[in-house]
Amino acid sequence: MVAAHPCEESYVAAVRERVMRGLVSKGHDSVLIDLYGTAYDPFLPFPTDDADALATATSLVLVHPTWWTSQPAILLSWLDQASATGLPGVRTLVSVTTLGGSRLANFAGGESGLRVVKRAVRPRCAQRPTHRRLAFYGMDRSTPRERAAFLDRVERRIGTLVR
Amino acid sequence: MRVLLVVDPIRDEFVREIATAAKNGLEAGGHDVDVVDLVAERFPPVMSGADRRAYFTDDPLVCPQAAASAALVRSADGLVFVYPTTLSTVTPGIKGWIERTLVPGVAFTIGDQTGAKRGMSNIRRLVGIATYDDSHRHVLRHGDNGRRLIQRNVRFCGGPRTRSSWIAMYDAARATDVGRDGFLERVERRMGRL
Repeated sequence: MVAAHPCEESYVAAVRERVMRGLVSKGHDSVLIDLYGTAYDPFLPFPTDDADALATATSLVLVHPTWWTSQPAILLSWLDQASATGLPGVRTLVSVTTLGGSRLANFAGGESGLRVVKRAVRPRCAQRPTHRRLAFYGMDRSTPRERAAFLDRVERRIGTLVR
Repeated sequence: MRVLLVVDPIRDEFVREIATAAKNGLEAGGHDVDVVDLVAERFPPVMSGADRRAYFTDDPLVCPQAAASAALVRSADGLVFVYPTTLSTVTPGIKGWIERTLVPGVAFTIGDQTGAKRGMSNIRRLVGIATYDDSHRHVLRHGDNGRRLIQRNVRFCGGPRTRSSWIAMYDAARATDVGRDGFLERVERRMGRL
């Protein structure tokens, strides 16, 4: 699981915790790569720890906010470097993301983040993994209840999506 | 016209040559040109915690480099992006520049009720110059998320009369020297007519 949000007090950090809990409770052997926690630097070569974790991974879960319709730059850089190896073991890609605008606004905006994973990362993977997505639309005007419900949904669903 | 060129020559010196051709063309056409070379400046592409916490405040530009870029955007009439397509979209460097420079108060404003409103009406011309390792056909089939980001999402922040155009070099991975020189000439000619 790769997480990309700079703030520990953010909602995405809470999503990350619930994803991890959901994975562990279903017995999946999970490794967290927190790009901000490990101070991932796009100007440096790909971290060997990340390469080692990817070498045995069968699923890759991306937890991130959606900025300017796609993944944050730090995650785009990481994905570019990571997928260059072809990710030979990965059979499932999962995106867990929050989007400020409504479903309609994001449709009009072009949903680049979805397209980047489906049409650019996925074709690079040796096993052509399936792509699943848990998306929280309308974050900007959401209520505490909706946010809590998404956290519950993520924890419940994530363990069934990965392999 | 005052034009800002944002260039990411990461892993590709040819992109810097394209930027130089664009600059020469613009200057020949009588325009003033500012250049932000993301690699030469080592512009940090990563939104930091401090950036993010300041994002929705009245003073979102806490990083001096992003603030300098934002000042250039505010004084520009034209905005040009030059990059090699990466994962079907702009390079992480360009994406990071957009995230950290085109913040509320620069590119758009956020109202309490209305959502984002355009805020870059000073930009009259928006241009993307991109190289693609893949063929035009492949790009059409798989989608061009870089073009989408610039011509749709960044374009939205301009005024209703912001014109945008695109200069593409497909099959760049297999290009010959003749092909590259031809593209540089094309860039210089088209930017001269802007």
